[in-house]
Amino acid sequence: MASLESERISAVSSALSYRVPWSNILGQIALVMPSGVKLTTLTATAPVTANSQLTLSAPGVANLSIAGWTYSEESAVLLVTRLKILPALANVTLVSTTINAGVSPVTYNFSVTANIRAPGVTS
Amino acid sequence: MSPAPRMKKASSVAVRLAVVLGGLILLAAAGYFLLVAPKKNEAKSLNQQIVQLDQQISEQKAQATQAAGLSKILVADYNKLQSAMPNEAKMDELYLQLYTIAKDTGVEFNSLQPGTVVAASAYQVLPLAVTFQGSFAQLSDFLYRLQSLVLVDNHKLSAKGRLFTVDQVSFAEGDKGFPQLRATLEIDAFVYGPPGGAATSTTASTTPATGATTVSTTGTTTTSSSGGSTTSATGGG
Repeated sequence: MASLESERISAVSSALSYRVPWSNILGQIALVMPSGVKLTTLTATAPVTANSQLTLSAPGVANLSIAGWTYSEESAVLLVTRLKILPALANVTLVSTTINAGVSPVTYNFSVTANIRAPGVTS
Repeated sequence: MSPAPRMKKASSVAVRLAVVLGGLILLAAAGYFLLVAPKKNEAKSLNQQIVQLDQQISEQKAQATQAAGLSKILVADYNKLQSAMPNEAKMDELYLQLYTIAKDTGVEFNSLQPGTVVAASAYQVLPLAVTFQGSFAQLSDFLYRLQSLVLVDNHKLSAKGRLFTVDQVSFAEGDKGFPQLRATLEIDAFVYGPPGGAATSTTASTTPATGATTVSTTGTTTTSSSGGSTTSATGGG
């Protein structure tokens, strides 16, 4: 009986090891968002998964991508600087900023990528 | 030279020296109070901020670790284990838990599509593709509540429902425009035991135009429309 219970505990522990604290990560991202920065899309994939059929990013390849727009390039850079201090993220990179010259006021589209650290991994 | 003028000259030099020394002391004091002291205070305040931030980071890390359930489970009630990872798929119960959380957080379900069951060593993974709409706060709350169903607190397993892990999160502009978002999640639920014993084939059909979702599994049918849901189990599951 004890053996069965310990097997079950190890099964639950194993499944729990794949869990990423998404609400925590999203909350941290929301906390460091500078004013004037608007996100249009956010896509994130867990660094590890129990579902072997799901295709994950290769190790080191970004598994978080954020796209949005701002009124100044500085705001995009500020966002990247702030995202870099988050413990859950690594390799935060500003991929691109492009000007929307046709609109008034002028806005800038940006794209940021990062790696979500695997559960339990710290910097 | 008579001793009197010599003494007078010596005292005048002493006075000058004292004035210069006094001036230097005053200058140093003024320099300290005007330049060094404010910087010292600033440095002290910055150090305090660093300590506070370090503390916040430690707390966040501890919360993240706890939320991720990374603490080793030492104590676990059998019923809690059974609740987190049952022996059967119990899809109706699983959908009901998702719908309840969605209703409580105010998010609106668009679709729920079960994928093919994946066998792992000690359990089976039941993948679910879920699409719903709501504000960022509501979606974040949904993820938090989903995670809070199973927690490891002080090495003790606490389970209020099924164990879910989220593999993929995708946010985009919702149908009603910002700040409403459309979220697509890839969620995994778990069934204890090797493949074969639990629920296997799952099929689903989605009708996003009407906002209604019909999901059917072996012997179980679940229908949802705009946050509300009805579940009918017709055996099995």
